[in-house]
Amino acid sequence: MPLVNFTTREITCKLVYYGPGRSGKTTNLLYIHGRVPEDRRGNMISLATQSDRTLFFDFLPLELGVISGFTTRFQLYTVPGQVYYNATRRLVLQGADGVVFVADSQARRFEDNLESFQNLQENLLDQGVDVRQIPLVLQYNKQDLPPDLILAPAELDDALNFRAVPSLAADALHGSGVFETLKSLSGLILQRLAARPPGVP
Amino acid sequence: MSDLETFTLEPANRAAAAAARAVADASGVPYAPLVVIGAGGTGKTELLNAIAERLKATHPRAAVELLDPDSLVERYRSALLAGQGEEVREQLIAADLVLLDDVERLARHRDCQGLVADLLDARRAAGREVVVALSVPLARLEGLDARLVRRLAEGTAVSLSLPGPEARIGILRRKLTQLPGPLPDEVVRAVAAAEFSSMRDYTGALSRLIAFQEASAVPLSPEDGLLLIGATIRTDNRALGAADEVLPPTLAVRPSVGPSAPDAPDEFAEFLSDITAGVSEQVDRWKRRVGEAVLYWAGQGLRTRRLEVLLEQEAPIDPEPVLAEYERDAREILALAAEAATDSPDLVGAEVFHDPDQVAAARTLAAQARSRAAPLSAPLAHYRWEDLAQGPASRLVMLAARDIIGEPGRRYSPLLVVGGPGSGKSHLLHALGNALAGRGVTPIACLGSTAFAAEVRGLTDPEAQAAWRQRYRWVGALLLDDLHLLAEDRRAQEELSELVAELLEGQRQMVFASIRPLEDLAGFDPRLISRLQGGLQVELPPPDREVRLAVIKRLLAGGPAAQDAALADYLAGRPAESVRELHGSVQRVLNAAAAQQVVPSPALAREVLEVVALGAGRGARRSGGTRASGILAPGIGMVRSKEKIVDQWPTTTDRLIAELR
Repeated sequence: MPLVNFTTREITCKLVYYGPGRSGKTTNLLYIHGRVPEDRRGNMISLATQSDRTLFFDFLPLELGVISGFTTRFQLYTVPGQVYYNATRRLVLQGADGVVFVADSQARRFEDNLESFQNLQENLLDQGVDVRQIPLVLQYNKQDLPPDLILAPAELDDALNFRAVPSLAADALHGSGVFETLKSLSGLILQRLAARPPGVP
Repeated sequence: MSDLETFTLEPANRAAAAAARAVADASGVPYAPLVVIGAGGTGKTELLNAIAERLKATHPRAAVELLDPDSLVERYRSALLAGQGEEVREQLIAADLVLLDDVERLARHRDCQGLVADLLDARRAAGREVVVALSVPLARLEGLDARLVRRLAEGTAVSLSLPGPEARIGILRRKLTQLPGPLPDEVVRAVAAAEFSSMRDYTGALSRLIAFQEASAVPLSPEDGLLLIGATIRTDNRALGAADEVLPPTLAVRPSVGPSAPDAPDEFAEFLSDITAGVSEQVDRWKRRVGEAVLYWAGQGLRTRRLEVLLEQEAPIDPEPVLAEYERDAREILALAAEAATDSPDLVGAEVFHDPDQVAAARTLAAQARSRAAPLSAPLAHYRWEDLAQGPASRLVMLAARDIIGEPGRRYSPLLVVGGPGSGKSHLLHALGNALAGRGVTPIACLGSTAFAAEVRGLTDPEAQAAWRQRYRWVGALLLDDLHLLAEDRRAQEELSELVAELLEGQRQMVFASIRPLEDLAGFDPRLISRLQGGLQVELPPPDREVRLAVIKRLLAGGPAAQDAALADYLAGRPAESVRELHGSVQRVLNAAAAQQVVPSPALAREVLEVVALGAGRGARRSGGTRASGILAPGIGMVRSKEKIVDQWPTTTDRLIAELR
């Protein structure tokens, strides 16, 4: 998918929220959905099970209007976190311009985070994407939980952030860090606009 | 008045003065940038000057850049042309202080807005201050890129107002101390109370009154002063104060943009703002690239309308293909212009060679220039003007030739030189051609009529014919020998007739040579004759004694008889119908001397030429006497010695008798 299309004068960015099951990916999108004016957002499509688990993926289109002559759209996706939905994850990950890895800060989910992060790298590599080049932001969610239940951002950084990408503490349920994460990833993606020759897919 | 103290006189401007002092003293955190906003004449430029002067006073070696948009653009453009654009950027980034006046005028220089935005970014990152002056509030800025406006909005804004009446009195009094001549204080107060829209008007009025007072013996009264400056005193001080507030009286140092409602942040709006800034910044990079291309190619003397269109578009298209195509066309135009400059220097200024949008026309013109530059038959270099000998008989033709060299194409064009065979017409034409070339008349076509006719006959297709005509149409001078040989050649005459008309119109010099005058030329197109009759016809007579003597001396020069005046005199005294015949005579004497291994002398010459003359006379009769070849049989001088000449061969009987004896 071209990031900047001069022919149609569109900038379209696909952002994928990745992470283990129940880490808060859909919660991020729901919070954003709730803060976006109605005329700027499309319907959030969420295919969930009866127990509120994401079955396929969530999709939230954001219409940001015309910026410097370009109709700018952000498309936010989540992947199903459950291990057995890897085919869906790979499908959603295709053509992503940037990835938010939503980690569950609970200490007991530490291994799940590692496994999911490893899975992300594998899926990116499978698609020929250089994991060192794609814009990536780590979000350490659920930092509002009691300290004895969670790992501090520094500890999570030690385990996950060996590429020194931006990382943010968040409480997606209440919105803390949600937009900061989105802004951080958007900034990285827009920086790539300059690095990539205009018009080149 | 470049003193920060002046600004403290007006309470409303004290915040601006304080901020300016902080910048000049480099105290506190940079405002990044400090934005001074004030209507025209409120003293923004003065404030910037005051900051610069204060900094230089305390740090004489500080690098201070005080620029307005025009000077910035000029400097950057010159640097780009010199390939030093990056150095200027670095200088501006590295300066201790940068002050930019009238930044709203950057709207006229879209190509430099990216430079200023980058400068603000880089200096902010480096912790270096920038002071920016604006005549309009940020919200009313027009024609500036969103990124630049955003950078300005991120700075700290201070307002500058027209000082109130009391402050104006103080300012005018300070001004009075800097101007020659006294002025009554009540007049100063009256001027300060007058109604003007800018401080410039007040100080200008003060200067006019001082000048008047100097010329007048009577002290000025306030009423007279106001009358002289065409103003009235304000009576409503409250209204005066209110009217002077050009900008809202919120003069405290404040961020120009801040969170709208801290207790209820609009997260999406902030996000959208960030995205807008990010996208604008990236798009601006392309605009800057286009802007730099505009500056560069404009500096090369090319029209850049095609690129400027990109900058004018609100919704930009992908600039890369346009830039690449423009660059390709621009380089081709420059190459064509360079080629044309070599082929036809007069075409260098042609508009098509400055406009990449007219590549096709430039190619056509360059092709024309190329065809014009195809080599013409140039005059022979060894026929030099300095070698032409002049005698009383050839005085007229030489005078005409000198006038032609002095003013080619202005006088005597066409010139027709009429003379017999060997009279020196060809020498004259080639020598004249060389002299004209020496005067910068190029290109010169110097050829015989037979060659001219052959060229015309070779024009087998219209394209070749057009190219040939193009070549001759642009000659600096046309010199055509043996015009009479074109008789009955209708096609050559027709081309020549058209060419003569063209060259006459272009005031180019033409010289023709013929053995017959125009009136005796038979088999010629009357139009051609008519056009030639518009010029001058002069006769080149057979060489007179003076010419012969000069020619002979030149021929003998460098040889053993160079100083033999008697020999030269003898040779010059002999009759000769042409210079060519003279050459032949001298050559025979020299050949005879060489064969006998003696020095040429009058006696030898007499012996050779007078004896030969007899034989030559017979030979001449045999050959019809048209030309003297000058080629002699080897040893003819000896063979024709009287002792060795046998007038009649003996019969066979006589030879037998002689042998028997």
